[in-house]
Amino acid sequence: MPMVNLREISDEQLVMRAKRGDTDAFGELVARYEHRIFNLAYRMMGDPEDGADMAQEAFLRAFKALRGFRGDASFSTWLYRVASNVCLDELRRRGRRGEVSLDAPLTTEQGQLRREVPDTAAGPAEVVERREAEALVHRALGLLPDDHRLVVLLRDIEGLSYGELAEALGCPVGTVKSRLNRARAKLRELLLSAEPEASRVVKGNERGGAR
Amino acid sequence: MKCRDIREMFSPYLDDELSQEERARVEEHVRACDKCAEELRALGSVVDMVRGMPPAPVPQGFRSRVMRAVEKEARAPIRKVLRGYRGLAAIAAALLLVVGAYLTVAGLPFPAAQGIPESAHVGSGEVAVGDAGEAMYSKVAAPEEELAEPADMQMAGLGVEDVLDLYERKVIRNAFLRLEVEDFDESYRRIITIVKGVGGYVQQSTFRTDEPGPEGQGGYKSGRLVLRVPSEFFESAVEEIGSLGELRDREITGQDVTMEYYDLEARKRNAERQEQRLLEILAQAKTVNEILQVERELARVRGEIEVYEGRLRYLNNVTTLSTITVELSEAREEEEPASPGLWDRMTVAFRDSIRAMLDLAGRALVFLAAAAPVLLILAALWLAYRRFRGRAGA
Ligand SMILES: [Zn+2]
Repeated sequence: MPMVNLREISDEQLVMRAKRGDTDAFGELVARYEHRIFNLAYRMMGDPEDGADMAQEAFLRAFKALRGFRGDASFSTWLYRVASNVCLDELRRRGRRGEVSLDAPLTTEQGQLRREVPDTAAGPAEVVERREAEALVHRALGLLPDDHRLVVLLRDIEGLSYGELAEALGCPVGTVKSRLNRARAKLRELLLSAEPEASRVVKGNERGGAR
Repeated sequence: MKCRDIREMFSPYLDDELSQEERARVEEHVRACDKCAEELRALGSVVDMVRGMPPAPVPQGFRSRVMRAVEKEARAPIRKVLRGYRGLAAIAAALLLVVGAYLTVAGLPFPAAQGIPESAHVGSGEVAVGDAGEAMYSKVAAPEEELAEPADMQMAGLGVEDVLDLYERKVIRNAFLRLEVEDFDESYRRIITIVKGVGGYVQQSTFRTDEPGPEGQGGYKSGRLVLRVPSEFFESAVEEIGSLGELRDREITGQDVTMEYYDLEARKRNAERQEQRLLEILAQAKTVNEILQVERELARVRGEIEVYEGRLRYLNNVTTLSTITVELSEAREEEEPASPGLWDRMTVAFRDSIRAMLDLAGRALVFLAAAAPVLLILAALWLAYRRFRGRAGA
């Protein structure tokens, strides 16, 4: 008699089971995606605790909305969409607007960025450099408007294609392209016009641009 | 000016989302223009920096926290429905009371209960009726408007059944049974025999055994089976399995997908005709551009056909085989069998006195309400008397 191992069946089959109220099947979906959804929420909210709260809310909302999931998009894309909305809603609720105009010289934010780059006197240079770079990028991401940060995270951290981005964000591919372009241009401005240290970090990572 | 247009394409260039043509254009420009080359390199490093961020570990206990919330939610819907209808229920109750009172006062007999069908589960709440369904409607005799709202029709008794009888009915049927049995393994074997007997199979089965207690009691087994049986044997199988033990819960649902099924078939046929036409056009196409265009269209239509086929396969599967979910658990022996007679008597006595107290409280309230006017007057008189006496004393 077939004893089903939940680990071996597809997302779609798990979704079908979960729709019928099989919470074990949904648990397997959580196991498959918790890492990705948590990382998205963490970078989106800027703080691991908020990230965990939002990731939990995202899974719960997904469970409630499962009946409405028709399978037009893949489950993962749909889940990213749910999680994105949860984060955006919360950020909007808090009234935190990270809107940073491209024309404005970003003085205060840049100052902050500079001040918090730690001194590199001690420790193995490479480790420190990596950690420095991460902190820097994390902070720079936080300075982007919410929807710009979201598109960068979905593309560069989660690895969605442009088509998937359009589905996850609910907007046409053209919008995805231009938003991503603007978001990266802003990041570039933030990261490369900062302290000399920051530029050095970037140069250390440099791989000649295009693949 | 040209530089700006090129830079628009940098992001898709880095993401490998450009056509070959566009790619070549970007590369050509960057070879000639130092500024843009520098810009592209910088953008590339930024992308690398973001991608190079190490992933953060999921906090401990995250999944169990999520699943606790999910389990709670999974049990919630019934309560929610009840809550949603509370207002409605109150109005209905009030109406009933008024009507009842009226009928009683008027001395009229209550109308005999109308023949309400025992189960109204076979509804068509989710039957999709799309534009392409027209092909199907033209085949049936009934006017289109009547078919458009199958759910309403059924309520109005317009005989959608008769119309649909022209087609083979497609109904998804599910049963959920919760059974308490003496011996788990024995019941399990018998269920398998029943299912095999009608040509069905076990789709999934899980079971667990309780940890035995300190005195060796417990060690009960419980489990969950998902069975698939041919639809024509659905009722008999449910009946037979239900009789294997103490039936604690039984839920049977049906979803009529007949309309959706034939609608999908019509759409599929349309798409196939379209594909045929496109193939003919392709055979006559002259320029490369034309061929590319037709091929793109062909790919789209093929994708559509595959979606319809997939959905039809699914519907065929779930309508020819019904699903029976059985939750089995072994009956637990009474934990405190010391003196069940005494215990029962105690609980009854306890309940009775609570009830008596509530009754008394109710009576007291009614009495208070009735006596309120009198009490108010008495209180006023008493106050007046005290003031009068106080003044007299001074
Ligand atoms: Zn240029």
